[in-house]
Amino acid sequence: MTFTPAMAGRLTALGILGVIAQTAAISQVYVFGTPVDILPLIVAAVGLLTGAIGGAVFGFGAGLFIDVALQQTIGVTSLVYVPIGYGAGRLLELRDPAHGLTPMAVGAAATAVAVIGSALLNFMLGIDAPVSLALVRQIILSILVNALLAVPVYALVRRVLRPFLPEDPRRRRRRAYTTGGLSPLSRA
Amino acid sequence: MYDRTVRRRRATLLGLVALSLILLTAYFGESSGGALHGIQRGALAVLAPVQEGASRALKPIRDAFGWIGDTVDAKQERDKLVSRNRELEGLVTRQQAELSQYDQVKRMVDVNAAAGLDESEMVTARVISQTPSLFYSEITIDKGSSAGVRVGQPVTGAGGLVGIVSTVVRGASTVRLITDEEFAVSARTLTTRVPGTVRPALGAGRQLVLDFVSRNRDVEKGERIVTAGTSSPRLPSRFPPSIPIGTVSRIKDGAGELDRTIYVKPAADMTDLQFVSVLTTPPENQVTADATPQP
Repeated sequence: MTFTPAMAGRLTALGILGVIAQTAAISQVYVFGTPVDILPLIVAAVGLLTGAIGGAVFGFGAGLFIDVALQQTIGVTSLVYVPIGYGAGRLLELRDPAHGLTPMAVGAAATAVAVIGSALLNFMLGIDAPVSLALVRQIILSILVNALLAVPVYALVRRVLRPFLPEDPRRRRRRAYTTGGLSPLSRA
Repeated sequence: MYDRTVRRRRATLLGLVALSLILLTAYFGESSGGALHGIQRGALAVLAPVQEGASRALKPIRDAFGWIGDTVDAKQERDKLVSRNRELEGLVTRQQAELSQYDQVKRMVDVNAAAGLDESEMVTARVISQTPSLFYSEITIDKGSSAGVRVGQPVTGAGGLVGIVSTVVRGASTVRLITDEEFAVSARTLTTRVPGTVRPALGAGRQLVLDFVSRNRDVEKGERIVTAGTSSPRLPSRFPPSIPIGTVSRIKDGAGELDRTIYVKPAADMTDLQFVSVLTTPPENQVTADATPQP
């Protein structure tokens, strides 16, 4: 995929707005007693749509912006989000998954990496965190909730990046049939 | 071409990871007045108004999601509270029952103490069944011959005299209540000491009558009636004196000298007996008769 300044601008806007929305509103929404965090889902969706390099760079930028905005230890979230974006991008490059539920599985994996990775890094950095059964429960709930949110978040990111994405031949074929266009056979 | 792409990809990954680690290390290494901390403070100053605006703008959305979450939480909390309420209702019912039992026992002990029976040996028994008739003429208690209960022993309850033991087995006894048609006990008014005999008022439900009271003796409504005890060694009574029987509720005069009906309301509530005391050993100063029951 070729990155253009316009695409970079959209990704930057997506990252900034995503972080602001997350910190200003979404983080205060609790589902099953656990706060919603869509940023790993956005990073994974960008990786899944743009590839490994795009995902990794977006993950780094988004993580850096979060750490700066939330006065956290700079570098921690970047370190966690880079593999998320990279991994999702590699999945696109290697498998090109077309199944509709792929974002759900990728979102769950991204959330697991984000939550567990952050916990491990903070633990290694000596930042005390209560390790208890409640924390494990919260991690599992976060993964489940984010798995459910992954599909709409992926659709949103896809809509934002649609002008820069290569047109999906499957989608084009479907549109041709459903809108009454000529089939490839009749055209031939 | 492929190798170049791979190298570029890997280099990007490694570069970003390394950059993150460098930032992390630098952030930890510097003081709170360092460059990275300064950037954070600057970002805070810039982003705070933006975040505040975003927070206000997104408040309806947040509230909507919060409302959904709150509704789910409220439902869960409601279910919990309903369950807890059931538990507490059960607890309150049990405690009220225990309080009622305690109240009955206390009143029973007071009756016994007032009648001077506290020094005698008494057996406290729980009422395990009651004749389900209008008059509740008999009850069954959970103490029998093994506890020293014998036929003919007086029984008191909360408020006053309850009856007399009529049947005894090893672990239970039957008590004939004072409202039973075959029951009779010598009695007197408490203050004026007018003697008479208390028996059930036939056809008057749970009422008693004080019989054989001459018309010229002064008995008034509200007068308290107690057992008379033994007035003559030749005619001993099984009932110690001064056990409350009831209160004069109504007086009906007839034509004859002794034709006066004095209705007595029992002091003990025969419909709500939970505990009773059986006087197994009368006080020593009381004359006792043989223990055979009266027919």
